Amino acid sequence: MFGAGLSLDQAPPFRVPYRFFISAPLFGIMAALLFSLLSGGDHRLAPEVIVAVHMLTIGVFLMVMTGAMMQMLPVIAGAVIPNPKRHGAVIHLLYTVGVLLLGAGLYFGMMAATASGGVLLGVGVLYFLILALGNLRRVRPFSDSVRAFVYALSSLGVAVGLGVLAALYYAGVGDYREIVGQLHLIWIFFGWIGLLVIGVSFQVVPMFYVAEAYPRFCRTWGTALIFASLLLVTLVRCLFPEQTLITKLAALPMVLLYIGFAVITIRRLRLRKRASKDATLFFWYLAMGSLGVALSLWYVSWLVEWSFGMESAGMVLGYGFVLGLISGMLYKIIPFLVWFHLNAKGHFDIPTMREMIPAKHIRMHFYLYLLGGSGLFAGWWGLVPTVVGGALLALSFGWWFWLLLGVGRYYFKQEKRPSPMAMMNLAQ
Amino acid sequence: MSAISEFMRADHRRCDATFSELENLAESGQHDALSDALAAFKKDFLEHFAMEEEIMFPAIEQKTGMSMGPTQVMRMEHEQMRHLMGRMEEALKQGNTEQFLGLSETFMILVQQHNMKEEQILYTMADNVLAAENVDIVERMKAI
Ligand SMILES: [Fe+2]
Repeated sequence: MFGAGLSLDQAPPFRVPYRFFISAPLFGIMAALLFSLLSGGDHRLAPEVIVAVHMLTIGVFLMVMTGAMMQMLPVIAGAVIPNPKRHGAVIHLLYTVGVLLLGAGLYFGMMAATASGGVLLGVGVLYFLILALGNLRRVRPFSDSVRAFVYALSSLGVAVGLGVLAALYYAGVGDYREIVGQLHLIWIFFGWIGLLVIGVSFQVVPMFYVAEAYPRFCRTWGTALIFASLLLVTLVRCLFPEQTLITKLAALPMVLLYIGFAVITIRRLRLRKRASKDATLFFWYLAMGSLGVALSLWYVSWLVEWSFGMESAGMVLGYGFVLGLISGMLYKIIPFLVWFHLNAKGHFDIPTMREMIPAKHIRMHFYLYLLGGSGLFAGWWGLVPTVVGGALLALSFGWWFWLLLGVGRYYFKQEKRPSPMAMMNLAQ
Repeated sequence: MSAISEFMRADHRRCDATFSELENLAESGQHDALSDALAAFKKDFLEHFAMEEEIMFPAIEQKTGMSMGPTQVMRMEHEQMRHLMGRMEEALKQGNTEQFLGLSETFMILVQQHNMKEEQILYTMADNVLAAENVDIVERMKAI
């Protein structure tokens, strides 16, 4: 009974999460290329934008977060996923084909492709949700992080349901498109992504940066309060289909809770005991700073209906907060996994994590990432041609891909080497 | 009731602190304080391993009758960490800070994943199966 949560092979094989991680920058490059195709004028609802946003949120964000969950569930939560190779491959295939079909359908206005892409994605997410929640169900005791994961996964379920509704309305069924679309976004960003980030932070910030644990109240009640605040937003929005001051005030608790989280995280990181200023720390600060800034800006702009502010806030939230955090985390996760799996095979002459991806290459990515963000912003607001902005973005994603590919290639080359342990066994 | 897990969690944080101190000194190149920090680091970790391997694990194994279960996995991970500690010490003695910091990064993640498993699963298990003698176990661990 007790042994279920712990076994040596509880970490899934390297290729399981890696498959998801290495795909992400490729979808990022696609999003960047689409962005560069934008022509001037009002492009808010241009097909290029809608497709690029889905490439980013599904092809990059969902892809990486699913891969990371496949890896983290056994380690952080003690929920072992049986047959990770097969499940991982199925989910990855559904995501990849789904997002490509959806993108092509939206871009070329092909209803059948959009619908089948949406269905494949829905099935993929559902598959992942059942797998994750099903395995988490058996975990006892429920730690604060596990609770956050359950809320996050539940939010993903709600978001997908709303996404399906939104797609139906797009196809001309019913007319609540705007409300459903808004709620879909809110559940994606502040339910699924936000709560997952919180659950991971509860573990990662104190442990890897040797910082103080999050305040007890925040750990025990924070995630439940956030989930409740999302329900409040949804309920009020449904009761008042017309956007009024009430619907806006209803979002205030959610906004304040997240700003609070960002502030606490930054303080924890600043007071950390481990001085080491590795590149991932820049990404953490940037992500948390972006979260606080984006939410404040978004809320204020929403109150006064200032579209420049709201759209800018959206970009800071997606690019600065989510992408920033993901980029930083992968530089810890992937090299460690390479080391871990090779070490478990008995190779003791593996280079250290720093040698696998030199710190200066990660710093380079950080600068390119900032440059790409400026390209996005400047291109969107017409300060530079979108071709320029898109090229900068593509450059940043391209460099990211190159670095991740390098570590992967190293792993697969080393994996083929005969294990010293196997040789020792032969000799006996 | 949760005496064991509380005590051991706190000990993990103590080990984290000594580790950070060593790493901080190595990174900022303060070589005079380094050998003391290295000694403190080794002492804290080896003590922690000993408390688990000599007292808590055998007690759990005796109660549950499982000697090849989770405790065995934890022992193997301790072995990995001891090996890395040796390499870190070597790197410091050769004055190779880059090498040391690369190893310490790996060590840190390994330790933290290990600690998560212990805090999440093993210590809770210890609290449960050793509920009757938990105070005694803590006393014996402190004596190491
Ligand atoms: Fe241990």
